Amino acid sequence: MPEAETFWAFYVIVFSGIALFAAAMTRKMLSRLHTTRASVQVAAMLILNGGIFGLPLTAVLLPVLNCRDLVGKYGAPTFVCNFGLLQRALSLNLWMAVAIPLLLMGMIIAVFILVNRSMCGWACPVGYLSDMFTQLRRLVGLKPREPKPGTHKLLQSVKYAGLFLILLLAILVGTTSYLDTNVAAAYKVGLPGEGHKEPACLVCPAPITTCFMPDTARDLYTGNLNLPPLAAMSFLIFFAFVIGSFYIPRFFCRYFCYLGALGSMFGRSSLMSLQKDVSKCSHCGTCSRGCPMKISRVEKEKKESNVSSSECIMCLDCVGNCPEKALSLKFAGKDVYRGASSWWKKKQKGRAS
Amino acid sequence: MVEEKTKGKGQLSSKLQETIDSRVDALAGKNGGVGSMKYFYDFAKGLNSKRIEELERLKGEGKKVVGTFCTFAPEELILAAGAIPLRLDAGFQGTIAQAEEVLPRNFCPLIKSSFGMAMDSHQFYELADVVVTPMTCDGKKKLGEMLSKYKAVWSMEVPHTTETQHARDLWLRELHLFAGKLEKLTGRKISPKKLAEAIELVNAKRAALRKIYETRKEAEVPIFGRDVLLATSMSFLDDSARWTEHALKLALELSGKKKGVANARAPRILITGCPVVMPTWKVPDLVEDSGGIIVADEVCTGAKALWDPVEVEGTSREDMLIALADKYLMNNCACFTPNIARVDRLVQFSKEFRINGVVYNLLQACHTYGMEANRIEKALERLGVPMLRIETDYSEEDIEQIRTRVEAFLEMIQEQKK
Repeated sequence: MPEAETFWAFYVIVFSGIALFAAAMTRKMLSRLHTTRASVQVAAMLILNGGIFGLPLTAVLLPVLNCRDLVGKYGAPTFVCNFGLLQRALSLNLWMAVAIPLLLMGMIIAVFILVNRSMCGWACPVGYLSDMFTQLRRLVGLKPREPKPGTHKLLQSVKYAGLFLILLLAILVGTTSYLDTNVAAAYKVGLPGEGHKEPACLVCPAPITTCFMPDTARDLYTGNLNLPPLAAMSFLIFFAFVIGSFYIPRFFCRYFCYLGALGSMFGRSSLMSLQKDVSKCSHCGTCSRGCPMKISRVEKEKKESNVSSSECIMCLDCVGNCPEKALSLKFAGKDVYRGASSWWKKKQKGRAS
Repeated sequence: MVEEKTKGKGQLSSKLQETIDSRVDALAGKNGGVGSMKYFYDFAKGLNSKRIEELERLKGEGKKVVGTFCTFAPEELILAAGAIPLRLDAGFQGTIAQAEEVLPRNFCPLIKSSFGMAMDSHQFYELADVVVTPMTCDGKKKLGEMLSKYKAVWSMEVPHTTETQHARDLWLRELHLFAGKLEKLTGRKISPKKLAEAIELVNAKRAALRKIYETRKEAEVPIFGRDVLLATSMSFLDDSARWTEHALKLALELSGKKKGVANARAPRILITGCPVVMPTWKVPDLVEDSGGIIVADEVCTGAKALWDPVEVEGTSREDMLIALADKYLMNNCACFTPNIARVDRLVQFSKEFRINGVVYNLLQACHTYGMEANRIEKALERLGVPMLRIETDYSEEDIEQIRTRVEAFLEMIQEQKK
């Protein structure tokens, strides 16, 4: 069971986020949609990490990056994300039990098919942290540093390569360690650190944000510093994540999230989609300007009404902002969200010049 | 120097105002009882007196006046810098003769008329601290150069296309420069707060226009298109907030009006092409006198300039300039190549306003709009909407000839409708 002090330590992250959003709200930087989404993100963060409050919520397995699995500090079974479990199942000697990886994979795919990548936009703690850094930059008043379109396209494909490598590595290790237990041992020893042995966990920002930071905060408070032996690489990656997210909205999600890459593959067959009334669209570019994932197709599309993109995280900013109300969110054949009324029907605050 | 010799002392203003007065009175006499139009009629009639006095008073208080052409210099930036935008595009035949002493005869009447106004030292030119000309068509490009003999001119480099990233980057850069020049002129900083207010102010103007246009979608059209065009033209000369207030009153009156100004079976016409500038009201007037009803337009003195809002994503000055740059490249000016968006917009309007026929207003020697006419005619043909191309200038010699053609066009539409 986690120590009670973890309580407030965890709040450091959650509440600094809330404070940031509150600051942004008071400066009228956030729309109602933004506020709603931020609230859902905070709630998801708390629910997903309910384990640290001793709540039996570890079974909440959504395809998001969230991590409470540090060297068995909290005793086994530990809290881990769905993708982490999948890797473990693939790379441990459980390889012969094909059913477990299939089941875990099935769960991930089922969520993606049901609600597309909306978990990325609304529930993922790493996504939430990315949004926090973007908010912070906007509050400070710095400009974003968007990569050039060519670089952007190239970087987008990095996550697919990453996903392929990670799964391949996990499967290879799993298969060989089944044949030879020494390989498994060598694999464990060969990687630095004690905790995260799974390939994806090594490059994931979540262990630092949802395990290391709250734990260290708690340890500093109790005076009983017990630094977990995390890989140096994790820190480097986390550092890159912080800097990247500060200057580029959803930096990690856009270019490196292997879980998002997995979700992308099912975007087109999802029950949830983004629709555009092509005849209403004026190609004004409001959707492109506000898109955290820097998707241009929603604006550019001239014929097809389904404008879902594999990169889309369903944050719905474009739907809420569309001045012509040409966009809508469709779920199982029904329009479920179309934003507020048209811009010109809203009450305007005309001021004398 | 020819220019020096012919430079007058604003003697033509009174003649211009007489012409405006007679046109406006004619409009007021046949407007189908739309009471809220009175403000716009009065404003147009006071252009050379009341409005000039008002501007002089504001200048006395230290405000600067920025003369503009076309719809490229963002009004929002001018307002945010504390200056007053004043559109100088002219539609007056009276100044053309003296302009022709300097400019070629076979040339755009709008350019000739505007240049003639400057030669005649019209009050608007006297009031303007600076004149902003866009580098769009050949006429406007060289007009800036010619005007620099009389006034301080800022030429804005408008890209030739909206499709490429470097064109968009260039335009954003131009807006940055423009904002900088304005700050220097007025000595006031364009802060994000001021700019946000200005954007809201001009968006309110656009919202009012949309509300008016919404009422024209009805089967019983509550207002003549020529009146709407007069109101929208005045929006570029009037104080933004005051214009919006009266436009909203007009929208309110129109939405409550049950009976249309024309026969419910009158052909629904859209007017597109070159700007319709007061006092040359020839084409819309002839269309509506001959039994048609203009329910929408796609001209720079109407919806083309005011249809789309500025939607800012973010709160910094940069965010706002990016949004402004995007919006001001959306006016589908025929100077852009390719200008596919204009065809899309016309198709959209034809459907939304249930258009029966399109009148293509083409000013003499306007190459860009002339070149696009064919493509638009073809696109409209696919929708089953016929198009009438009228090439004209600011003179009154061709009125009867145009009338015959318009009447035949409307008759053909009536036949088709049966």
